[in-house]
Amino acid sequence: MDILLDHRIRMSGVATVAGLLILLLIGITTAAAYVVGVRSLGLRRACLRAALGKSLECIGVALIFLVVNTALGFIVVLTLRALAPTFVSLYVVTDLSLAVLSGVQAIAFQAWLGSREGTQSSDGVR
Amino acid sequence: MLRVLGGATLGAFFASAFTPASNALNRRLSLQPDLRGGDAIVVLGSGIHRDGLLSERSITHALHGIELWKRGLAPFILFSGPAGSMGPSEAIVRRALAEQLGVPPERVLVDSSGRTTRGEARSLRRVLFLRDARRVVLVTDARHLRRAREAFVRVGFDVAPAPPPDVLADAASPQARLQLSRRIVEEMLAWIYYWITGFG
Repeated sequence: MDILLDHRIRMSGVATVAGLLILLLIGITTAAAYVVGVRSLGLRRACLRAALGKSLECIGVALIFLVVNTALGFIVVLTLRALAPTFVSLYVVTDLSLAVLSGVQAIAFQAWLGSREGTQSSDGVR
Repeated sequence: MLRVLGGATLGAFFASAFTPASNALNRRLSLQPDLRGGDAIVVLGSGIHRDGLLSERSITHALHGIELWKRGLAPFILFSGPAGSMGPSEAIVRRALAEQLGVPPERVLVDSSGRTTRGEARSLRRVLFLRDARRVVLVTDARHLRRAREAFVRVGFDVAPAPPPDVLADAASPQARLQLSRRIVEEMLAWIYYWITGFG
């Protein structure tokens, strides 16, 4: 019974077609978005650096939300285990949906922060 | 500070998905098999669906344990695995699989008490020490084996790690590498949890 013998060729060190293709697609659409932004929408190149900085901040906030959500999940699961008759696995806090929703939280929170900065600058003008 | 955090997160994502970094980390974290044999082959729980169907990992691990038994690594095989919210326990379904594949019923033990790695180690200690079985050939994920071995050693077992073939070890597509990275992060979180709360 040798059905689980490992005959596979090891390929983990080789750059994969899938990975390169995905990076190529992202590169093409990023370049296209840049051209559309500058030529059709009148966006200023000078503002791109600040926009990229804001994007990185948003990713940082998403990570913070994810860490807090995961830590809170641990506490909730352990509390349920102590109080409820049914067993709850700790692996539920590693569900992919938690990462996606943490990203949504970050986008919303950053947009909210951005509205405060907009309000503060218009107050300053007055 | 947030930009640094965001940049580091994005960098980690690209490294995980588009380079062999997660494959290399997986190799460092995984235990190599030690197939010198023991008093019992122990196959830890790996999941069962609500309708009683074994998960893909559970079947792979069960088949690997059965293969090791047929090679003569131990006189009997013990399947661990709790019941889900409905349906039979994973251990009992695996026993049925083993018997269908020719393992005599008297050579198969089951235990459905343990719901965590620590719980399995404590429960199987009660079962196996009664039979004077102290050296176990332990079957579970290569990444999980390090923590599982520690939990079993802490309760008095001598452990020979026997990971089944790891389908994620050679992850080559970005999606597969991200899946591998996720499993690695899960195991690291579990280590932190056990480090805080203890293995015993």
